[in-house]
Amino acid sequence: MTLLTLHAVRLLGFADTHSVAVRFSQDPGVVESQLIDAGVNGFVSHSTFAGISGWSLSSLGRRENERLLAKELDGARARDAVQAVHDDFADINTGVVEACSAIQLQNPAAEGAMDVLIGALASWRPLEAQLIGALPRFEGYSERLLRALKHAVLDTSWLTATDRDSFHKVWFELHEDLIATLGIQRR
Amino acid sequence: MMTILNGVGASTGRALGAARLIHGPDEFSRFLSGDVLVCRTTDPAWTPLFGMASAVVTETGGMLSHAAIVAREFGIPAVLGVRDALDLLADGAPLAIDGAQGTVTLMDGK
Repeated sequence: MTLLTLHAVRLLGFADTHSVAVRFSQDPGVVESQLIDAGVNGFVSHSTFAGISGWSLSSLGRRENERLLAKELDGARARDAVQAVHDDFADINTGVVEACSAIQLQNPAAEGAMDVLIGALASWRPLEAQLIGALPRFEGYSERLLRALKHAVLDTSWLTATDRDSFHKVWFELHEDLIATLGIQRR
Repeated sequence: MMTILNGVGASTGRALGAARLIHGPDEFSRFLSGDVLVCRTTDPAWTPLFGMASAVVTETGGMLSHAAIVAREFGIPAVLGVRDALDLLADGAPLAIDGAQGTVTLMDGK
């Protein structure tokens, strides 16, 4: 399904074929074929940055991704529900970015930051459950966030690192997913 | 005469580099290691550029934005919320970035 392949590229930002396939548990051979077709249509491009090669979405591909997402959303009659989840997410997001910043800057708020992130996950879980009733592809964020928190008990870089599935990296992806699904601009 | 633009110093440090005005992923291939990334906003697709950039300047965002968190992870200065940065800066212009003061200094004026 082209939607999931394009959307995986959108969420991952820059990723190889294997990672794109794994994101939504798709067959790698099928995904490779879809990516090649998407490249022919100008939706994605394959390039090398900083020694790593991968696919990224073009501006045209971003518009196609949003067209397919809007079709999916309207087909599921879930626009109001997703908007409500997004609004709740936005409230939680404020605390998450404050906590991540506090951890990085080692300011006094860092002491309670882990509790804020644990609370954010607890608040997100029922929202994810609501979402996947209409859009099953949202499943998995809670588990990834929990995995990051478990790792962070021993290694706090799992809270904000960019080179692994850290709490912030997953949260940032989730934010992008909600924004993309609703077709709204990042503030 | 030097032109100074102000924003929010969201990730500390100083850097010198050429401004690279990037409007979207289609332009990523123009970005060179050591350039100063100048853009409207960022999303996960932009993270690899942070690994190549000497500094980041965005028109939106602030201390508590995802871009700030990612810039701190890469240890590069970031000045966010610089209004009209894409209009006021020229591609290739030499910039001095101060991520603590939140300033973007255009070294040869425009």
